[in-house]
Order: sequence, then structure tokens, then C-alpha cells
Amino acid sequence: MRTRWLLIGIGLLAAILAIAAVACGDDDDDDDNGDTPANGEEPANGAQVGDTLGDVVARGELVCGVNDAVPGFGFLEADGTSSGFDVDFCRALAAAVLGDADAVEYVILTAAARFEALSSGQIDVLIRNTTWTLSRDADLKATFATTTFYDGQGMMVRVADGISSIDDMAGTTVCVLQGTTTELNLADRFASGGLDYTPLTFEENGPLEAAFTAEACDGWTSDKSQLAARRFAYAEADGGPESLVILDETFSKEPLGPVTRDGDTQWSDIVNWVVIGMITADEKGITSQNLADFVADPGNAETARLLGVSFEGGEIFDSNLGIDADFMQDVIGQVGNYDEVYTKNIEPLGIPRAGTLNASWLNGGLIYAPPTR
Amino acid sequence: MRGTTQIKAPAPFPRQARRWAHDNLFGGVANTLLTVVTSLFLVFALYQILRFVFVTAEWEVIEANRRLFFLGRFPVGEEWRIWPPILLVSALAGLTVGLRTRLDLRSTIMMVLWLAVGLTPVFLFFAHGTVGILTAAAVGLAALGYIGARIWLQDSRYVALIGQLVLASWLLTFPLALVLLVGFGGADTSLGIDGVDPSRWGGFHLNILLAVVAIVASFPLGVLLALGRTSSFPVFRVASTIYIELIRGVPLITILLMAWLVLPDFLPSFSVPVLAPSGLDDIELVYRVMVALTLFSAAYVAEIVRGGLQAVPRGQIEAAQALGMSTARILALIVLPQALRAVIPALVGQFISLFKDTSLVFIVGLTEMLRAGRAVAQGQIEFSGREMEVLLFVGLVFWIVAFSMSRLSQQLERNLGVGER
Amino acid sequence: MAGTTIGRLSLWRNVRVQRFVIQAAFAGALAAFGYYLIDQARDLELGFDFLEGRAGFDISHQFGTSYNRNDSRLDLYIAGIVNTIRLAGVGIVLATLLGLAAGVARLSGNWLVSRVATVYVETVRNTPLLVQILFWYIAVFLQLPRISESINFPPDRISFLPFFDVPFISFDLAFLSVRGLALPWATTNDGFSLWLIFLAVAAAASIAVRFWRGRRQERTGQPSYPNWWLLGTFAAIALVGFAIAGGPLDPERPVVGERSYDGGIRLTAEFTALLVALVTYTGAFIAEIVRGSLQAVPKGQTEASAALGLSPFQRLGLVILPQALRIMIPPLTSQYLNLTKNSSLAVAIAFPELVGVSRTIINNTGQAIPMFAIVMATYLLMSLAISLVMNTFHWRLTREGG
Repeated sequence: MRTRWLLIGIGLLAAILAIAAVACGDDDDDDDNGDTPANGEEPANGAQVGDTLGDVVARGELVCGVNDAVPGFGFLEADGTSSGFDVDFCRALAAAVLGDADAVEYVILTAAARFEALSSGQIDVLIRNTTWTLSRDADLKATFATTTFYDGQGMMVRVADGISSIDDMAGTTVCVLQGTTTELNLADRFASGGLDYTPLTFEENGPLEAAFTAEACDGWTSDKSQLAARRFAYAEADGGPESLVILDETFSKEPLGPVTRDGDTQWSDIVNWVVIGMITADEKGITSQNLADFVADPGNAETARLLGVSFEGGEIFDSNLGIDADFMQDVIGQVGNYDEVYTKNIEPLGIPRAGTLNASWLNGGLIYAPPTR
Repeated sequence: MRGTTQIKAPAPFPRQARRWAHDNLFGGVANTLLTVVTSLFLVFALYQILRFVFVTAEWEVIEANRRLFFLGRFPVGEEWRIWPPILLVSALAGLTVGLRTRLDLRSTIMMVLWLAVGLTPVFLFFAHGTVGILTAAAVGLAALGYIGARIWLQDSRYVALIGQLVLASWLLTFPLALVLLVGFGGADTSLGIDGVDPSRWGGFHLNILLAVVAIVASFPLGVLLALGRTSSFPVFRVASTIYIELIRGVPLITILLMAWLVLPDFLPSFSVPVLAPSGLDDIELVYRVMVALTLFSAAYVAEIVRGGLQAVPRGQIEAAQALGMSTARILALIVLPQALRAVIPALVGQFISLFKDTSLVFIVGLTEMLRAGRAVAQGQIEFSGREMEVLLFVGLVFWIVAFSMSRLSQQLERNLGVGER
Repeated sequence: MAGTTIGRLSLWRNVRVQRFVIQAAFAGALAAFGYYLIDQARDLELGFDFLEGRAGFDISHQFGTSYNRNDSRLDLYIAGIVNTIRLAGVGIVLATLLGLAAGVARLSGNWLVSRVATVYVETVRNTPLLVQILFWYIAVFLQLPRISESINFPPDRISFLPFFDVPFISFDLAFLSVRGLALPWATTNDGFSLWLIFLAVAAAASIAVRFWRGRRQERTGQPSYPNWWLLGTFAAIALVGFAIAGGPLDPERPVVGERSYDGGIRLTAEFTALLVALVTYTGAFIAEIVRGSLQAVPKGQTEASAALGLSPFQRLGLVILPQALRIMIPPLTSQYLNLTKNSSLAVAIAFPELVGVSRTIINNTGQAIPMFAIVMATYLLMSLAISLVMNTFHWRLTREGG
């Protein structure tokens, strides 16, 4: 009998030891600089409130979540580097914080993964065609910076089908990408018109485009900038751009911009003011080409504040943002102002800036910078 | 069912051909009909394929992005890390084939032809400049190794020694490849070299890397699980069985998605040098995917090995026990060698499956070859809609590797005499 | 329990004690690990309430479910499960048939047929399934004509090059285009429930008749064709019932509409492409299993049945296959499981099976962990069901074989 009890005792002891070993592992090691999640209220989904700026500087590299398959915004170049409108804002941020626009590590994110990656601290900033919505701001604990691109969901159809508005589309089949707000907006729009339709929900644009080209669906719904880019590149063999039309109606607002975690206001401010600085530079006509002239002679007080230089012998303006006062010199010098980034990335898609929502407010658009003061 | 082709005497060629055709294609109405229908189908399929490959397709998308296909987002200027293992593997492959197999003239010609057919397009389209020279060097090393082995083989004094050296080198290849990738000694010290950030690994290189890691790691784990499942210890048996059936019951993509989204929440936060310097719960996605693929594959390996274990006659074990061998020695020396030898074909089949399954890691955002190609066909506006070319190319590359693997395994089976007693 | 030195020594050398200690330690470690996992999971605030919420989007394929965007996410998930089961169910049947055909073809005496079968197996087995799914969809099914130019069956005219061109049947039963294959179908009317009763009676009666004929055959040794009797009885009662119920089914032919087919039943290009891809992929693996099992049947069996005067077809169907089947079933089961699990790649070409809808639910709610738990549990249940059916079948086969 004693043997049996002894054995049971040993078994229990082993179990307790194992539990203890595992439990001790939890609060083991704290000396790495803040990358371990704080023992906060919500270790899993909760935001890791921390010093993102400090992390980025210590690492010497900005970790930026981007897309890899959206023409003009975020895509892979032949040499494996990332390019695009969104990517240039990552570069601008790295230039501002680290003084080197190339000090960026790009993390390719799927639509489903992006907020998880942000909240778990795998990335410092998310710049991946992400729409600013209430639930994302509040529920997903994200902070949205100044919108870099005003987009809206639209519908592209074939000219030959004679569709002139969404309300003509009863009984049609519509191609749409899975897992985005697009899918929900589509359902809402057709419901409000009392229209019956069939969605063909693809995971990626490749087969979606093939299906649309083969006329497996009548409409293709997505952000209008994407539709315009696809229309622009539509093969002549399939009818060319003239055979397609993007309907006037915009049935959702899609303000796209950089996203950071809730709770790190300093970092959110930096992201915000890098974007605003680029817009301000555009308003003032400061480009990467003529930057040196403005640095030498700012011409007015606000330009001097923007570039972090002295004006008429005065003191250099410091906003206490936590980074060098002349950070915008690095941004404009290495990446350019808003217009340069737009012209470089979006115009090749066949979407000129003038006359769109993304024109400067001076030209009747929505791109507007709060004052640098 | 089997056609009887018995050539009695060497007949003049036309008659021989006619007889062959009669025996193999046109014997009887049903057979003739089958031949005609199959031919029609074949002509149709070939016409469609050839027309696409040579007329419709625009292969520019492949050529312009060849680096992306093979290396993904690997940093420019770090390619030197890839080549030493490739060159080493080429040389070792040549040596091993030369040492281990007894290729007759026909197989040799077939192999040379196969290599020539495979390599010509490589040199025509992909291997320009330095890459071309290095690829040529790899081929040269393989040939040198093969010829060298055949010459040394004449001198039986060295065979055993060379065999052991080759085996040791094979075992060293993988650590060498990994060390070159992840760096060693820490970049701060004078001797250490920096590694390449694992999130930048990509392209076909990543497919191979994931497959090799998962194969190497899942094999011992699978054997352990198989032993557990056939063990006389109920606790081991139940635990192994539950593990195997759980894993085999769910799709790989759900396991990958778990490793990606859920696993970090369950990992402790202590740091591991090199692999996870900033805490295990912050470990690189690539490593998590390697773990997921290993755990997945181990369950399948276990089932295959279990089949082999059951095939080992009970008498063998009893005889070994009668000789007074310990359980561990019986396993290592009697049971496992026989069990594993019997299941080589199934194991290779599983490893080929695993290799193909590495194309699914796109689901967690890794830029393996298929994903890199599809990203190009969607993201680079000038190649918008060139998905078909990408698919065919990626399919071809996978096919070449997988088919070679299966052929090599058949060769291995023949040399080990599997199925012959 | 004598506390002698020998007794104490033998405590650690006692095999039973060793076994117990090892197992207890292992079980303890497992329990600790399990406790750790549960403890971590408790922090995650898991809940399944989100499944009650409104789904908010529509799906393209439904089979027997009537989900719409205002239904709950649970309803959506159920529609996804039904889609998976439908795909896997049809796929398993077709893959078995294709695998049998290809396996037999690889051993065929016809050189061309065996070569084509070999090329098929070696191509399909050595390339990733995702590549194949996309290939079938983009390269084959999307090349079908647009809906306004649907291929109709039977054709209106029959023509062959410039030699002849004659009018044929102008009555269309089926259409094929990039929007799918439209087939005639039937709708039910008031008499249907009455007919269902007749069908139930027919089923019971025909089984009884088969039993009776089977017993008769066993008793007398006379061929009594029990299966023909079964079919005959069932058909007779069903037909009589059909007449009495006043034609409970209204046949319905598809009509080409402007943007979709009206009436009939439609197999979409997406579903069909996926089905073909899964069936050809799994079929290649099954072909290898079939080939191995056929080769494992001793050659003497073929020769003996040939000597008895059986035709090649009878030899295969009555002698070789039944024996091969016994070896075939365990590996076949894993292929069926693989097919079911591989159907999770369907989202690539717009077929909303359960993983596809789950990923959208996760995107909309952020509830990754509970949703994945549900998905994995669902697959486990399906795998279990398939294994159960196949194991029962295998058990019956081996038992019958004695």
C-alpha cells in the first residue's frame, strides 16, 4: 500500500513542479526594452501602451504594415522592395524619426491581419489602404491620423451592358473582394435600393479580374481609385479602358490614412504631423527640388517653423513633438511633399489629382493642413 | 488486363511496329475506340496548351520579376548567403548519386537529358550574369562529384571513408544554410556576422526552407508519436492518438492561421537568443509557421511509421528480447530500421505533400513563390491580369522539384531493396 | 511490505513501478500544459455572442439553406457548412470514380491510355492544389462563352466543318456558359406529400422483396436477380404513386435571361471548377491507391477467373475489385478526409464554404480565436463522421470476406 501512495505522491509532485516551472516562466525576464507586453488589463487584445518612438529609435528601424498587391498604393517591385503611395508615407515617417527614409522594415499584411498586427505590437504603424470608421477607431482601439487619400466605393460595369446607375443592376452578379468593408457596403447599397443580386466574393484581385473579364460578373465593386487603376490597365484585347465605365455614384466614404495604436499620443502626433507637414509643404510649394532654397531663406515664419530653421534671426521653433525640429527637411528632401508623392504614385494609374477630392483645398479639394504653429 | 508484348524474333522494323501498334493500341473494337478518343482528347489539350504557351501568354511578367519569384523580399546584396549551401548540396548530390546508385548507361543518358531539358530554360531566361556563373558552377560541381565518386568507387579502400564524409557533410549542410541566414555570434562582436531578418525571407527559397525544416523536424517527432501510439503505456497511447487524430482532422490552413493569430497569446514572454531575442511571444512569424508545419506533418508521419511498425513481425521482437536486448536497443536496431525501410515510399509522398503545402503559407502573409507571383500579377499595374502565366510557371517549378523527389525516392527504394525480401 | 534492502531496491527496478512513474510524470506534465493553456485562454475573454449578431453581407452559393444578410452569423456559418458538405460529398463520389478509372487505366494494355493516365497522375500529384484550382477556374471555366452566347443542348443545328449543316432539335434542355451550367429541374406541387408516402412504402416494399429474392437465391441456388427485383418493385410503386398523386412534380426548363438563367437548376462555374479541381487532384492519389491494390491481388485470381470464362469486365468487377477493395479502404479514407479538408481552399475562387465565411466573420468582428475553435471542431466532426462510415464499411467487407 505504501508503494502506491508513494507513486501517487511522485506523480502529483511532478505535476506541481511542471506547473510551477511554467508559471515562473511567465514573469521571468523584463530587461528587454519594452517589447514584452505590459502586464496590463488585457494582455491579448488590448493595446500595448508604450513608447513606440523609443522603440523605433532604439531599433533604428520603423516597422510599417503595408499591402503587397494594390497598384499605386502598396506593391512589390521586381527587386523585392515595396513601393507605392502608402509606402512613401512609411518612408516619410522613417525620414522624420530616424533621418533615413530607407530605415523601414515592411510587414506585408492581409486585410484580416492588419488590426491584430497593430494591436499586438508587431508593427509601429499601419499604412495599408485602411478606412477610418467609428468601430475601428473605438472598438479595435486604433487611432487614425490625417487622411492621406479620400476614396469612395464605386461600381465598374461594361459599357455594352447599358447600366447607368446602381438601380439598373437588379438581378446582376457583382464581383467583390472578401473580408473588407466593401462587402458590407455592397450589401447595404443593394438592400437600400431593394435590389436582388448575387455577390461573387473573391479572396484576391487576380481571379476576380479574370472573372470580370470573362463576364462571369456584371459589376466590379471596390474603392474608386482601384477601379480607375484597373480600368486604366484593362487590356486592349479585352476591349480596352473605353469598354468599361465607372458609375458616378459613390456609395461609401473611404478616407484612407495611417493608423496607430490607441494610448500612445506622442507617437500618434508624430505620424499625424508628418502627414500634415507634407500637405503644408505642398500648400507652400516646397518640394524636394527647391528645399535648399527654402532652408536658406524660408521667406515667412510658418515655413521656418515647418522646416525647423531660424527666421530673421529668431529662435528655432520647437513643437516638443519628441523628434528633431527640422524633421520635415528630411521628409521633404528624401521623400517629397504630398503632391510629389501623389504625382509619382497615383498619376501613373490614370488618376490626375486636379478636380478630385484629393486636390488641395486651395484648388477645391479636401486636402487641408492645420497650421504649423 | 495487361497487354502481352512478347517479341519472339527480331522482325523487320515496319512489321515490328505494326505488331506493337496492334498489341498496344488497336487490339479489338473497344481498344481501338479508346485509342481514338484518347488521341482526340490529347490533340485538343496539347493544342490549347501550346497555343497559350507560345501565342497568348506574355512571359515578360516572369522574366522581369524572376528575383521576386526565387527570393521574394530578400534584401538586395545579401544573395551571397544563399549560394554556399546550394553549391554544397550540388556537390553532395553528385557524390551521393555516384556512390550510392549503380546507374546503367540508359539511366545515365536519361538523367543527362532530364538535366539538359531542365537547365536550358534556366540559363536562357533566369540565370544571367553572376547567377548564371554560379548556377553553372553548381551544375559543374554536381557533375564533378558524380564522376569523382565513380572513379573513387573503383578504389574500394576509400569508399567507406568518403561515404561517412558525405553523410557528415549532408548533416552539416542544413546548419550551415541556417547560420548563413540568421547570422551567428551577434553582429556586435568582431567575429559575428549579422543575419537577414526572417520576415524578408521569401520566394521559392522560403518554400524550400520551410519544407526542409518541417521535414527534418517532423520526422523524429513523427517516429516518437508512432512509438507512442503503439506503446504499451496507456497514457502515451491515448495522448499520441488524440494528438494525431486532432491534427489530421483539421485543414492545414486553420493550423497556420492559429499559429499566426492565436499562438503568440499562449507563448511565455521569456527571450530565446537568436530565435526570439525580444521574447518568445514576439517570435518571428516564419518560425511560428515552421512550428505549425512541423506539428502538422508529424501527425501524418506518425501514421505512416505506425503502418511500418505494425509490419515488423512480432517474432523479431521476441527473438531480440530472448537475446536479452533492452527495449531501446530493440527499437533502434531491430524494429525501426525495418519499419522505416518499409514505409520510404509513403514517407516521401508525405514530404512531397508537405513541400507543396508550403504554398499555403500565403494565408498568413508570407511571400512564398506563389504569393510573390500573384502579388505581381495584381500589384504591378503593367502586369495586371497576368495571373495565368504566373500560375503555370510556379506550377512548373513545383512540379520539377516534386517529380525529381519522387523519382529519387524510387531509385532509393530500388537500392535499398524495399519490397524484396 | 518488508522494508528490506532487496525490497527497496526492487521498488525502482520493478517494471510496473517504472511504468507507473513514467506515465504519471508524463500525464502530470500534460495536465500542467493543459492547465497553462486554459489559464492563458481565460485571459482572452472568449465568447460566442458575436454569432448572434447580424451578418450583414450576402453569399453567392446556397444549397438548401435560406440565409440572407439580415440573418445571424450562425445562420451564415451553417450555410457555409452545408456548402462544404455538398462540395465534399459530391467530390468524394466523383473522385472515387475518377480514381478507379485512372488506376485501372494506368494498368491498361492500351499503351496510349496508360501513358495518358500516368502523365495525369504525375502532373497532378506534383503541383500545389491551389495552383490547380486557380488553373481550372481561370484557364478552363472562365473560357466558356458569355451568357448571351450560351452553348445549348441539344444543339439547334449539327454541323461539321463545311461538309454538312443540318437543323437539329430546337428544344433546349440545358445551357452552358461562364455563368454556369443550367439544367432542367422540377418544382413540387400539392401532391408531393402524398407521393412521398408512396416513396416510403416503395422503399420498404422493395427492401422486403430484395430480402425475399436473396433468400430464395441462397436456398435454391437459382439466380433470382434480387437487385433487379428491388429496382423493379421500387419503380412500380413509385410510378403508381406518381399517377395517383396527380403528377406531384412540375418539370421546369431553364431559360436564358439577360444576366442569369431563369428556372431549372444551375451549377455555377465557380462550384464546378472547384469540384473538378478537387476531384482531379484527389482522383490522382486514389488512382495510385487503386493501382497498388489491384497489383496486390495475386495474378492467379485473374487467370483463374479467365479460365472460368469471365469477360475482362466481369473479372475486374466480380473478382479483382472486391478483393482489392479491402486493401484500398484505409488509404481511401484518408484521401476522403483530405478532400474534405482541401475544400477549405475554395475561397480563392469565390465559393463560400465554411472557412471562407468564417474569415469574413473574423474580419468583421475580430473574434479570431472562438471562430477558429468552431471551425476546427466542425472539421473534426466531419472527419470523424467520414472515418466512422468508412470504418464500418471496411469492417463489413472484411467480415463478409470471412
